[in-house]
Order: sequence, then C-alpha cells, then structure tokens
Amino acid sequence: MLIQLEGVTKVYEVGTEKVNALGGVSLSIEKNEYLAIMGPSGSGKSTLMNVIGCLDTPTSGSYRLKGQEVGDLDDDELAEIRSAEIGFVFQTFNLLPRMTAFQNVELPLIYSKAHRRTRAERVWGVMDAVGLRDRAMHRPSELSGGQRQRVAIARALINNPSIILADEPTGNLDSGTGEEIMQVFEGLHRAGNTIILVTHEEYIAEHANRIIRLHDGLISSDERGVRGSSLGGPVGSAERV
Amino acid sequence: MMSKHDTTSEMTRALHDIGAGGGGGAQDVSGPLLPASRFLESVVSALKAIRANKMRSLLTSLGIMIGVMNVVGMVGLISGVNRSVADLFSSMGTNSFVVTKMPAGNFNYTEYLEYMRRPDFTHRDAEAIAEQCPAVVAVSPQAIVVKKIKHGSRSTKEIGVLGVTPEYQYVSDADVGDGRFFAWPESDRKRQVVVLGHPVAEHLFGERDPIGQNVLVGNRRFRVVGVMSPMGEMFGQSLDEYVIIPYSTVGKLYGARLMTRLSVKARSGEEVDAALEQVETTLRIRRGLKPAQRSNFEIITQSQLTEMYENLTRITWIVMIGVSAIALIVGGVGIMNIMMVSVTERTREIGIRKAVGAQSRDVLTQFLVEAAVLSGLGGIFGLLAAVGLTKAVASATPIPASIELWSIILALGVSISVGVFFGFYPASKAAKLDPIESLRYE
Ligand SMILES: Nc1ncnc2c1ncn2[C@@H]1O[C@H](COP(=O)(O)OP(=O)(O)OP(=O)(O)O)[C@@H](O)[C@H]1O
Ligand SMILES: [Mg+2]
Repeated sequence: MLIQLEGVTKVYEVGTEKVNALGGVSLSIEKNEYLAIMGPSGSGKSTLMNVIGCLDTPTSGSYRLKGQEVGDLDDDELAEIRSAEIGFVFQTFNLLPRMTAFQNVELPLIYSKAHRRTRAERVWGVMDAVGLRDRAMHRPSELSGGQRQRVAIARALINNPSIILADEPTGNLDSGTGEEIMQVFEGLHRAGNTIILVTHEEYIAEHANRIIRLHDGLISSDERGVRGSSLGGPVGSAERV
Repeated sequence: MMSKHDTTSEMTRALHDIGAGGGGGAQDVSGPLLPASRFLESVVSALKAIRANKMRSLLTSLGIMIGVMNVVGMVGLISGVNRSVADLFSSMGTNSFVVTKMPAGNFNYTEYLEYMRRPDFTHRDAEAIAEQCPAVVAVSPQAIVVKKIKHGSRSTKEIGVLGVTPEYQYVSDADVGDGRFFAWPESDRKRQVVVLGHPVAEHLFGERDPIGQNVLVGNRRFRVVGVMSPMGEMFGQSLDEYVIIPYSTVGKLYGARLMTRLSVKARSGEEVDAALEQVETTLRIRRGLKPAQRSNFEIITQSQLTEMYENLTRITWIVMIGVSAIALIVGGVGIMNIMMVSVTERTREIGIRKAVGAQSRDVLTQFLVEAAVLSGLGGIFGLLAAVGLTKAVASATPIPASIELWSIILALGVSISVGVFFGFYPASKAAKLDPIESLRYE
C-alpha cells in the first residue's frame, strides 16, 4: 500500500477556538491510482492534501507513506520525503517569478542533490513531457496560465515522485486550458504515476478513477471505478499509445 | 502550433522516455554535489536576488562600503607613514644608537628639570668610549644649536646647526653630495667650516656653486666645504634643513656644555647589544656610579624609537578601529534590516522552496550567502574607494600610501563576516518558516 491514513485528524487552534479541519480520516491509496477529492469549501481538502504531501503532520491518527510513519519524522526528514516522493501542483502555480521555466523545473533537483551534469538532461526530459521545450527559457510572466501550470507539473515530475498532488490545478484556468492540463495528468497516469487531485468541478473529477467526497473534515463518500466504462478515454490519441 | 492530439501522444511518449511511473524516490540521483560548485550556485542566485533590487542593495551596502573604505584606506595610509618613518630611522645610520641626557618619549616638567641637571657628555667621554669599547666602531659627539644661516641678502629661517666630529659620516651613513666633509685637522683646530644641507644650499646659492663661499651661521662667518646629499621629506617636512659644523667649533663659539648626545656605531648588527653594554659600563665607571645607582644617562636605540613611534600610531589605530567598527555595525544592522524585509517579501518563495524539498539549512544557507554577498559587494566598493583615496593621498602628499594584498583580504574578510553575522538572524528566521503558512502568504 502506497498511502495509508487511519483516523487522521488535524486541529487548528485560532486563539482559544479549535477548528477541526480533519475529523478522523481513514483512507488507503494504491500505486497508480488516480484519485479526485471533492467537497465544499472549508471541508478540509487542502488540509488532507498537505498531510498526504508531508507539508503538514496529523494532530492525531496515523499516516504511513510506503510503510513509513510520517508522524515520527522531523522537519528535515519531511523535506527529504517531499523531495523524493512528492510532486506538488498548486492552483496558483507557485512558480518563482525571477527564474525561467527551466530554472523553476530544475529547483527540486538542487534540493535532491542531483548531480549537476545530469540535471539539464532531466529538465529537458520533463519539459518535453509537458510539451514546453520551446518555452523553457521564458519567465513565468511571459507564459500563459496553462503554460505556467505545465511548468509547475514539470517541476512536480522532475524527481520522479511516487505521488503527484494537485490542489485545484485548473482552478485558475479557463475550461479549455483546464481540459488541456487534465490531459497532461491523463498522460501521467497512463505512464504509471499516482495522482491525487482536488477539484470543485464534477467534469474534472470525472477524469479520475476514484472520487472521494469530504464533508466537515470527514469522508462522506468513496466511489471507485467512476471512470473506465462510463467515461472512456477522453481523447482518441491517448488510446493510440 | 501542435494539435491537441499530437501534444498528448508526444507527451505520453516523452513520459515513457524519462521513465516516469511513480518509481518512488529519485533513484538515479548521483552523489552529492561538490560543495564548491553548490556554493558557487548559491552565490550566483544571491547575485540575482540582489540584482532584482539594485537601488535598495546599493544603499544597504553603503554602510559596509564606508566601513571598509575607512579600514583599508587608513591601513594604507598608516602603513605608508610607518614606512617613511622606518626609512628615516634607518637613514640615521645602521647599527647605531645615541646616548643622551633625556629618554625618548614623554616626560613632565619636573622630570625635564631632573634630566637637565644630569652631567653633560664631554669630549673625553666620547674618546673613552672609542678606546674602551671593542664593539664600537665610531663615536660622534653631537651638539645642536639653532641659528639662521645667511649669504648676502638671503637668509634661512632658524634651523638646526649640528656640531659633530668627522666620524659622524660613519655613524649616520649620511653622504656628502658635493664638495667634502670637514677633516680631523679642521675639527681639531676649531675651524669655522660648514657642510650645508641640500635645500639650505639651494636656498642660499640657487644655481651657483656654494663650495668655497662664505655664509653666516648666526653672526659668525663660516666657509662652505660641502653639501649633503638630500635625504628627502617626510610629512612635507624636509629632512635636510640643517647644517653641520665641527663639534669643537660649537664648543668654542657657543660653550662646551652644549653637547647633548653621543652617536655611537656598533661594529656590526650582531655587536649592537655588546656595544650597548660596553658603552653603559664605560660611562658608569667614568661617572663613578655604584652598582645600586641608576644610570644618569639614557641610551636610545632605533628599536626604542620605532617602539615609541608605534605607541603614538597605536592611538591613531584605536580611533580608526573605533570609527570603522561603528560604520561596520551600522552597515551590518542595515543589512540585517534589509534581509528581514527580504525574508518577509519572499515568504512565498521560501514556502515554494520548502514544498519542493528544501531543508531548513538550505534556506538558511541561501539567505546567509545573500547577506554575505550583499555585504561583500559593499566591501568591494569600499576597497575601490579606498584605492582611489590612497592614490589621491599618495599623489597629493609625500606619504607613500598604498594598498597591499592583505588589506584586500581584510576588506573582503571583514565585510563578508559582517554580512554573515548580521545576516544570521534573518536567515534563521527564514529557515524556521512553516511551509504551509508561507505558501498561503500573500
Ligand atoms: N492555518 C490554519 N489555521 C486555522 N484554521 C485553518 C488553517 N488552515 C485551514 N484552516 C481551517 O480548516 C478548515 C479546512 O480548510 P481547508 O483549507 O483544508 O479547506 P478546503 O477544503 O481546501 O477549502 P477550499 O475549497 O476553500 O480550498 C477550514 O475551516 C479552514 O478555515
Ligand atoms: Mg483548498
């Protein structure tokens, strides 16, 4: 089992008030699953993503990533796991504005201490994967929203992570561009990656083959095999491969 | 533009090519980067961050620049002064020292009166030293009076008239440039002959040859036999504005009690210490001092003079270090302040870096290097300003001020250390930021 959460809670204390962002979530995710998390605003989707992505640790409960109990790790060990196992894609892209697309994609390699000589080759590899080779030397401000998100995806891919986490990756994009981004994820899933994505849109969630719905920090439904038969391949070309 | 379909298939193929597929971990990561190249990268990225805020960075590094300019400039100046003083001391004659009534350095009026009551040196003292001290090669008694020197309608201001024996040439290493020094017979017969300092001759005679001419020393007529080679200047002050007459002539004209000191030259560098001891013993015996009694004369060596000079310059150093320290602290606080601003402004960047795998120490290093580079740039500018300053001083004044290699190292070392020291608090603040909160920061 790749990911195993048992009774995970996350409590935020704001002043004297306590906010139960997660109220006891149990969830297992296997390798090469394509999971969508849905739910109303404030239901704890981002919080769950942060816990899974080792940006945050649960207040209580257990989270095992590849059998490793994440709650036991210190900040630097969490950073190492993020570096090696996790690729994040954010709604607001979160690219460094002063760096080129290439440098943004290269950034995680610096922290994973990849050898300098192999870096460029790998960056070009993922730039090709997201179809942005010709935009590599542009800065984020010179790219369209969809292109920026592709750069962010390339950055998430660069260390060949176990899980790709995307929190509303199409939230800041128009539906056409959003659809293009979804096809990038489609390709990644096909290539064997594990993808977890948060979305508000049903049509986006339908790309996944499992949908989890959160309500007030608890899982209210967990549907498997949504896709496959009912939706089929969204794009003909993808099936050619 | 590629069609959507083509793009997808291209992408999928590329993904297979790079072997994506959730293998987990970056297995094909080779060993850690060489620290040197890693460090270079962080310097380059620090320079980029600094370039993004050119004006702000420039203003920030101004304090460091002034501090470093002060340190390096003053060091250059003082070592220039030191060098010219050292030159002066060595021009006083190698391996020589003086025996005087008064010690070198400061003393108060009571002490002055006490020193003045000490017995004068006599010609016989000089002879005794020459005869009884095997480590001594030459002794020259010296007396100084201050007189105006005149020739025709031209006159100097009041300058030193040095009464010496012909041995002075050996004791002081002073060279006669033109004509000759006076000889023993002239000295013995108390002749009124004079050797002029170079600028004195120039002032009185201009282009004309002074040798054989007469001058008035005070109101006595002297015949010029030679002109000394110029020794140069120090602090715009000529070292050659004096004249030399026979010691015995000073005694005859101005009274024998005027002898103030004996210049003594040791046989060699190794024999200076022996000479010092022999001279002291000889004089103590001649004056009938008991072992318990203090000597009623002083021996001043060149190293004592140097030490005295260094004591004087030490005060300058302390003031300079104080001023520089204040400038550097102010500069350092400026850097700390701007780094705090930078950390706040770049909270989101820090969050992003942490999300993609940066550890606390990576962030710490990044901001420390940035502070050090910012401060180091200030140091480089300060160094350039100091070079300009020293060049200006060296060309406008006689002080041979110069920048040496070690002051470059000092400038960079000091400024980088200041940057690291004052950058540490902001950098550790950045390192401690929580990744989620930083990512949420607007
Ligand atoms: N740092 C925090 N401090 C206090 N409360 C927080 C914090 N982060 C999240 N919360 C609270 O936890 C709950 C879950 O937040 P979360 O961001 O996970 O929601 P979400 O499902 O992602 O919502 P959205 O769809 O609007 O992004 C919310 O009530 C939120 O106010
Ligand atoms: Mg959210």
